[in-house]
Formats: sequence, C-alpha cells, structure tokens
Amino acid sequence: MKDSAFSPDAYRNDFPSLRRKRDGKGPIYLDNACTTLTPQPVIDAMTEYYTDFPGCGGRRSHHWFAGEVTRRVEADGTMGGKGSRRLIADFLNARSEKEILFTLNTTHAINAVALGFNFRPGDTVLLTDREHNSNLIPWLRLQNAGRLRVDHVPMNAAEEFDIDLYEQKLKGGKVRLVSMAYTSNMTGYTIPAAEIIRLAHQYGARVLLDAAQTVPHQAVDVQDLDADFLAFSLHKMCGPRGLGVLYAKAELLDKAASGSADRLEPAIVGGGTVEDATYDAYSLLGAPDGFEAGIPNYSAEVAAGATVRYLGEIGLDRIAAHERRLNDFLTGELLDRYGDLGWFRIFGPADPAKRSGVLSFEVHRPNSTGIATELDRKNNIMIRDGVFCVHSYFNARYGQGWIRPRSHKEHRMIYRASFYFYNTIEECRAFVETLDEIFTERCYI
Amino acid sequence: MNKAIIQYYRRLLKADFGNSGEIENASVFVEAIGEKMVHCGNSGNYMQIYLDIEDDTIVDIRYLCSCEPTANVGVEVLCDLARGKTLDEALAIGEDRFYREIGCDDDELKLKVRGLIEMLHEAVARYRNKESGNPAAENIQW
Repeated sequence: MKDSAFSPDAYRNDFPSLRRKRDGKGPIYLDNACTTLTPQPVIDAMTEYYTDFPGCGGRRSHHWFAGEVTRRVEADGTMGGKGSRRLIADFLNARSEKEILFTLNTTHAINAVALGFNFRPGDTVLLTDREHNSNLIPWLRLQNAGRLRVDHVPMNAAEEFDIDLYEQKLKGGKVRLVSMAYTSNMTGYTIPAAEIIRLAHQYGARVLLDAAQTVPHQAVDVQDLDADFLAFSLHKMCGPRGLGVLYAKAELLDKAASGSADRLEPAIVGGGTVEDATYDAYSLLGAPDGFEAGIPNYSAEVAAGATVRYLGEIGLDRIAAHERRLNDFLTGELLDRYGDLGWFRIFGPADPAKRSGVLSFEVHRPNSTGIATELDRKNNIMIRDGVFCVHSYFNARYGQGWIRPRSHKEHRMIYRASFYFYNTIEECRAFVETLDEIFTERCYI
Repeated sequence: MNKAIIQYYRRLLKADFGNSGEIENASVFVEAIGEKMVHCGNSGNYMQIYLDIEDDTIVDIRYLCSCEPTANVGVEVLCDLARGKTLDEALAIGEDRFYREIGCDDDELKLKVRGLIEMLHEAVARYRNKESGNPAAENIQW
C-alpha cells in the first residue's frame, strides 16, 4: 500500500491519459461508470504479451511462448507465482481459480448464465426495476420464447431495496434465479446482497449478481456473500477492454454433479472446450476450460492479473471511502445551488454515502439536452448523458415516448457523473462551476 | 455558447418559444433525429418541422424539438424567415440571413443552420413530389 492517508495525486501519474492536454487544459474524466482509465502497469502487461510472447497459452501449445502465457494466466501459486485467474480468485475470495470463468464482458457473463442454466418450465427470474439492459434483455428474450417468466422488485419510496416485497415474491415458490445489479449503474445504490442471497437460498433460488459497478469500487467476498454467480468487467476497474469474469460456485460447474437440479452448461462450445470428439459425439472439459470456447483475449487475460494487483495495492476500502468523499462533496454543492429550484433532481437514495461513485441527475428545463457536450467543450469535463442503458426504468417513470416531448415544458435530460480513485475534489469543483455557467447561459438560474 | 445566441435564446424563453408547436394535418412534415441533419448529437435530440402550404406559399411553419439552445434559436429564426414566403422564396433563404438575424456566425450555429436549411429543402421537395402525384414521394428516406 502506498500511503494510509489517501490522496488521488499519488496515483494520477500512473495514468498517461491524465497527462494529455486540449486547449491547454487537462481532462476531467467523470465517466467511470462507463469505463475507467488505464494505468501504466496494465498497459505494460498488455503490451508485454504482444511484444514478448504472443503465442497460444492454456493447454493448446507446448513451447516457449505458450509457457509464458500459461504461467501468467493459469499459474495457481503452487510453484510460486500466481497467474491472473488465481489472482482474481483471491481478489474475490473464491475457493478455487476453477470458479473463475473468463468472458468477453459482464453482458457476455450474464448471457452465459441465461443460456446455460437449466431452467424448467414455470421458472421465474427476479430482477430489480432498474436493471441495465445487459441484465434485462437476456431474460426478456427467454420470456418471449416461453422458457421462463420475468418479475421485478421495485425500489421503495426511499429508493432502496424493499426486502419485504422481495421475500413475498420468493414465497410464491416460482423464483428459480434472482438476477440483480449489485450496484446500480444509474443510482450507485448497492443492494443488500448478503440478505438477498440468504433469503433466495432459503426459498430454493440461486442468485446472479451483476457486479460490474461493485467489484471495481468495494471489496467483494463471494464466500462471505454465498453468491452463486457474479459477473463483472475488467475495463470498469482500470483493466483491459474485452475481458469479463463470471464467478460461478464450484457445485454449479462440477461435471460429476450433472444430476443436480441446478447446473450451468456451457453456452458456447467448440475449440478449447473439448475433452474428446468423434464424428458423432463429444465430451466437454470441466471448468474453466469447458466454458471458454475459442482462442481467448490473452493480452487482456495477462493484464487482468496486473489490474487486480494494482487495485489491491491501493485498497478497495480506501477507494470506496474516497468515492464517498467525492460524492458527498458534489451532492452537497449541487443541492445547495439547485436543490430547491424544482427542476433539478438526483436519482437514488438521498444519502450520498449510499450512492457509491455515481451521481445521476435530471434537468427538467427547456432545451436540457447537450449539457454533457458543453461541459466537454468548455473544460474537457467528460460525463454521460442519456438513459445509461436503463431504458425500461425511464420509460416506466416518464412514459414511453418521453424522449420526444411535445412541448418545451416536457423537456428533460438525465446526466451522470461517476468517480474513481483518481478523481479529485478540485475536479468536482470545476464540474460544478462549469455546470453553473451552462445553467446561467440557458437561463435556468 | 456565443453571447449573441444566449441573448436571442433569452428572448425566446420570455416569449415561450413563439413558433413551437405542431400543425395538425400539415401539408408536409420532416423530422431529424440525433446526429442526423441538425447535428444535435446527444441522446434524445430530435427536430420536427411542420409546414402548412397554400397556393405555393408557406402560410404557417412550426416545430417540435428536443435539442440544445443553439438549434432551438436556429429553428425559431427559420420559422420567422420562411413564414409567408412562396416555396421558391423559401428555398432561396441563405445562411447569412440567419447569422444577421441572430448576430453571430459561430461554428456551432453554422452546423445547425445548414442542417435546418437542408430540412426545409427536403420538406419542399417532398411537398412538390406529393403534389405532382409522384408515388415515391411518401417514401423518401433521408
């Protein structure tokens, strides 16, 4: 660990992109819920693969370069070093590296469960009312095909998880899988996952956590949670693009347990997944190999180890605490200025400590689109606008077609600033001051 | 945002966007979404322009939009300039008329104005095709 008193300045120099200038000004990157910046150690690890040993690893080839790839990805620590898969298992406190399945991203990981879990007719999958499309569309597709039913647990009036309503839905006995965003990409709110899993197991359901916005921002212990499945993407935690992880409990992957009611089958099969094959038949390898068809993104897999080492050195608790400080500061500034005006609203729980590193807000004023572009143009401030892939929630809230208002009184747009450990209070201040300038130009204030 | 555009926009706010609205049974209607045509570029942006045409004259022109202020200023000026004009006169409206009216010609405004002029030309072409009985008129893709 670099120092106990956290300062983002200790890490900012690790990020080449933060040293760039446009019009004499540096970037203010507040779009971390979309993707994060990449530090030099991760860039070096990706480059190292392509520069030094760009061969096939795993169990495919057996030569010099293959050995280097395999060691960096698969070494389990018994011979000294640990490969990326083992490092990620340690990062999540998984029992075994065999529970770590590499995917393309979180979306791919969720689809792997949707397509591979042995659902039965009449099963229900239970979601929250504000899931990212990646944890909604795969289930709606199966519902449309008549393979299961999708149900939702709406948040309560305080914008928090309604555990009583959730238990009522479980009591119906139809819920086979609970699949929920552990931390919302829209509000930053983290659901009480341990209690949700405990209740699900009590009623015979399994739980998949979409942890894309959780794993990068707070310590996650899959054993402590007793999670069945957990999905996340490396690119949201300073890691390489094009690599996700599906954690799956060993009992759900075990070939010997094929007679059990709950089991995950590989959704995609082919090269690398096969133990043996004839013209008529095949047998698949166990996890993780049986679930990772085709040549993988070796460069990203190598860099994944560097990613979790890097975050581990900083400390997830310190990252979470710093994000809370930023969110508390920015929430206070925004509400002091606009909180009483009637057209400005922050999504999610009122307490910023419950919103992780996400601050989404609505501007319900004429011509409220284009503010993200203006922030970028004026001061290189990068935030997100739109519906953040949560179309379903906004359509339910405002009515379908809200995006095409019929008068200026109906104009509204939603924006999201999202933080990571390299962001500073000074950046938040610049964001507020620039936003103030834009609101003034538009006569909102 | 350019100061002249801000000033113009403030007048529009006070007047509650005088040309805004939909024309029922309009002679012709055109729409642009997102990056297309008016280069609004952000989620949710759209521009709809309605023309009511009698005897080859634009008797009314209105719009519905969700866009940032610069595009809104541009379309308000377009409505003021085109209303009461014959179709040929409307087609002859150049960019400079917009810039004189607004008091600036910054790059952002130019993008919007060019998109809006393109929309007006498309609307007139569509109307004329329809009037001439061309069966393809209703199916123009743009």
